[in-house]
Amino acid sequence: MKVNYKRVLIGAIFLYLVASPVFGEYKFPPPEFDTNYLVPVMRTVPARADWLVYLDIFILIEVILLSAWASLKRRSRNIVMLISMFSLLYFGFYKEGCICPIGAVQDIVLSLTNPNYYLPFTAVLIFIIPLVASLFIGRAYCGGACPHGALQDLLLLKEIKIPRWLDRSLSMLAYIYLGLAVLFALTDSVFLICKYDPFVPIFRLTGPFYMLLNGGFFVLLSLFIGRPYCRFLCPYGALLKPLALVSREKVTITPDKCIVCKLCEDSCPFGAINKPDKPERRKAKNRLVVLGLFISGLIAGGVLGNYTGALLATYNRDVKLAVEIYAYSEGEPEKIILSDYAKEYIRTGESSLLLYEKVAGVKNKFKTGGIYLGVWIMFVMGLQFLYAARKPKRDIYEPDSARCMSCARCFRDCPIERQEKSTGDGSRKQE
Amino acid sequence: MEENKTKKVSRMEFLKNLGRGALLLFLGITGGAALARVKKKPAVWQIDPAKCIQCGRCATECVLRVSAVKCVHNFSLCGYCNLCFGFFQAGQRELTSGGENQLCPTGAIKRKFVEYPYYEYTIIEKLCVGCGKCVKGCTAFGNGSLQLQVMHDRCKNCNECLIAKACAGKAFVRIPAEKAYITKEGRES
Repeated sequence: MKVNYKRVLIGAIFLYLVASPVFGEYKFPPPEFDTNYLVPVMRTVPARADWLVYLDIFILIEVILLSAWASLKRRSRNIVMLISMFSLLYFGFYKEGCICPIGAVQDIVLSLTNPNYYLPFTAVLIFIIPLVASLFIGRAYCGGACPHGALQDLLLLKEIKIPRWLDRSLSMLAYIYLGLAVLFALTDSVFLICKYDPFVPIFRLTGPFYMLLNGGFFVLLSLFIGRPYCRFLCPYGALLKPLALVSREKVTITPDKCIVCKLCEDSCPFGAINKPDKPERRKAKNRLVVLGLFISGLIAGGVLGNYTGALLATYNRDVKLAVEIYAYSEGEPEKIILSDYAKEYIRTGESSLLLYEKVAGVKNKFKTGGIYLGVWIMFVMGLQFLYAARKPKRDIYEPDSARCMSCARCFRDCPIERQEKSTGDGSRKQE
Repeated sequence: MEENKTKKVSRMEFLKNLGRGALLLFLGITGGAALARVKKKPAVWQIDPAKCIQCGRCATECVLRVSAVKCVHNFSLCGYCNLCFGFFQAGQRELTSGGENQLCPTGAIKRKFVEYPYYEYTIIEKLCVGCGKCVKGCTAFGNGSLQLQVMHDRCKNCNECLIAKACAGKAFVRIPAEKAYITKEGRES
């Protein structure tokens, strides 16, 4: 049998038009013009081309490797600065800081609990690549490739040294921030890291007022404190620190010829140089007491977290909606001014029981998450205290591999290194 | 003593290597699990005009100022009305394009005579802030040819779109990037 394709097509179009609800909805049928007026088409702009995404990933890898080369092999602060300027321009002002590994943490976490979540390919790669790199070449990502870091680094005008104890205490905030961000992302409440990112509105040169305010505050802070966001808040830096601790390569100053002149410590704006130390033999601590304190701290954190979790849940939109719907259905409906969300929910006529059930699930997630969050915070704080109390024997000044961001300032200011460079060592030219 | 020292260093190195291997394995597993959940086709945010209730949040919630959401005119649906409810304020004095008659707060709609009794309405995109006031009028009383759409030359495609989070009608959806706009008749380009 021969199929008349034309007829099938016309039939299909006819069926479509009849079945389409829109067709019947014309309140004013589109006119038939007598003049030769052409109906314009709706303006649409295509989305960003697909292959550009791969270009971004390629550039990211190149920049990380280049940054590592500049700080570990070529040992040139100028080249590191050039690379970070490029990153600031490309990943910062051109790409407008999005997508970045700092926020990608949340994508990964949310996709693990919500299979329907649209997880882009780039998010995974951009999250994993700097982490893997940090296992081998330290925090070269922070030093050269991160536009946030580059902006703060280049802004540093007049450094104010922060006492070591304050620096170490504030740096724990990053772990708390990371924990909170994971909790809020897991429950599909909000992406804290993205919402309160201080530098993205600066890259975009626009944004909501609270974002701009936040950005302005951090820009002011960066003028006097070396990389305040990186050191004290960056949740991705919090992940990179322990990885960089076991890194294969790390930044060295002049370990064999160190004359203990302290110049490198002065040059480091991030408090990342460890001083020489000769601890006298101390009395053995009662390890059982320390362990007991540590564990009871974890338990206390869990208990506190359980309560805070329930409080944090009120930030979730569904929870807010449920509270409103409950007040509406139980109280006097006339007296309550409903939000658009509640109005829309009532209009769709969904059962409120369904909502309550969903919200109970969200609240449970928050409570359990709160326990983990509390334990996590106490765990990190405990480790930090133990790490700070540990006093290894050290004869020279050397960079702390966890905190060092490969900015190359320390060996630029090292007199031994300068001498070596000026005496014309072939591979190390003078800057 | 000398021998002791070298031994200690190598033990440290060994532990570091062990830690690096373990962390690499962990990263590999996490990355693999995440990659398994990657959605193959690139997607973008868009507003489903059938669900949009014109609450006005597109203009205020976007991380950009001005918002990435703009009003677009789907001319094929338009009735070319003389009395356009997207263009004129309620209680307008006369049907002219005088500012006091216009609904749009930024004057972003251009009204042009085509032939009696039809008028063409064009959005001046540069002026549009995406408040949806015209869309509301057009949807309520007209054909609904004015509609809000995410413009992809402006949209940053944030993974967590703040407008989508705040959208009262839950009208924000992820759609394939190659067909990045939704009209009332269906998807387009």
